Amino acid sequence: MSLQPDNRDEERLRALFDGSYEPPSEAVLTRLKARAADVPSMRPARFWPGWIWAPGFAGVALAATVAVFALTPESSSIPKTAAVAGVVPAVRVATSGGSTLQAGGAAVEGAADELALHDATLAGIDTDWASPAASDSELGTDVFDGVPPDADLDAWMYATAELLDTAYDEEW
Amino acid sequence: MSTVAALQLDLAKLLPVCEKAAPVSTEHELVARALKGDGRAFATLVEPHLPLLYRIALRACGNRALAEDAVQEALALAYKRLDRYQPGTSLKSYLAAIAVRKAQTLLRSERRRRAREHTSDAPERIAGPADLVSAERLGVKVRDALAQMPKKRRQVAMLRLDGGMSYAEIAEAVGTTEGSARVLVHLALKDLRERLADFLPESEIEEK
Repeated sequence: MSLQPDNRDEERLRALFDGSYEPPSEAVLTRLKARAADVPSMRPARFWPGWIWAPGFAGVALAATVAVFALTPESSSIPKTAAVAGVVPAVRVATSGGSTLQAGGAAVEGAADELALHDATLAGIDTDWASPAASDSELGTDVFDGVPPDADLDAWMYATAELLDTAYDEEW
Repeated sequence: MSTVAALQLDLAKLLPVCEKAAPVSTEHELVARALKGDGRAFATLVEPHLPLLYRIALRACGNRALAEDAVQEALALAYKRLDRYQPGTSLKSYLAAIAVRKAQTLLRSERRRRAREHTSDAPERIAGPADLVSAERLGVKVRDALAQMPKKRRQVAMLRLDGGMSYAEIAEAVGTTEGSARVLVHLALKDLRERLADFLPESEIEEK
């Protein structure tokens, strides 16, 4: 029975591999066995249990996180002023011990009021001065209310002649 | 008397079953004990496969001391993943798979080292007694040929020729089907035959 070409090649290669290899001595094998026995003691103790890395556990953890976020009411629904009002009494209680601390508490309260007013401004509540016309008058912007009389203009020209460096001519 | 004879017959029937079941249960027990940190149990478990691991490691690095270190590293890795091993399946395939992957790294570093020595300005090494040993010289050539082969082919070549493993065992070790393992082995042997043509004994076809 003759070998197939592939099998014959395999036999020749196997002979080559066997010929280029020297088997380990008994001493080497004993040493290897001793080193194998040391392997379990070499391994450091694991901090996390093995099941924590299991894909199933990862899925459960993800589902739990999603459920917590889905069931918790949104934090943005709490009014900001209510949140500030909640802070102020707490500060007041904490600072009721001394006068310096009371002053600090008052400052915090003032800041809270200012913040509440700022919020109201942004919301457009009770802001008469927020209209464009009102803001113009507040800022002192000139409002055109008719032509001034000639006498006023003459007086103004006379008063500012030196500044403009031009001779004032009565006849002009 | 007849009762005794009947019992003997029953025992004779049961004996082969017990003999077959014993290794699996022993292996199962050894794995369980090893996982609890029993070093002796782990050593007993891997002892029959130490020559194979050593051969693969030595093939890859060509140095006995390094090979022993490599075997220990492979065993450490095998122990780390021992909880994934299913007792009753091939422990040889499980360990050989780890050994060839470890050999991959060793071969690469050995190849780099050789390349460094080749390109360095150091004077060429005079052949010593070790170089004159044909087995060692042949070992270097085989290692070079393996290092130049694609990764998968190299793995299956080592498993087949050094490990003497069947196609099914190779398939389990490299994580493929038996058919694919067969094809991979065929390609690897063809590749090796071409690379080591000068060292192979003359075949009958070539003689004709």
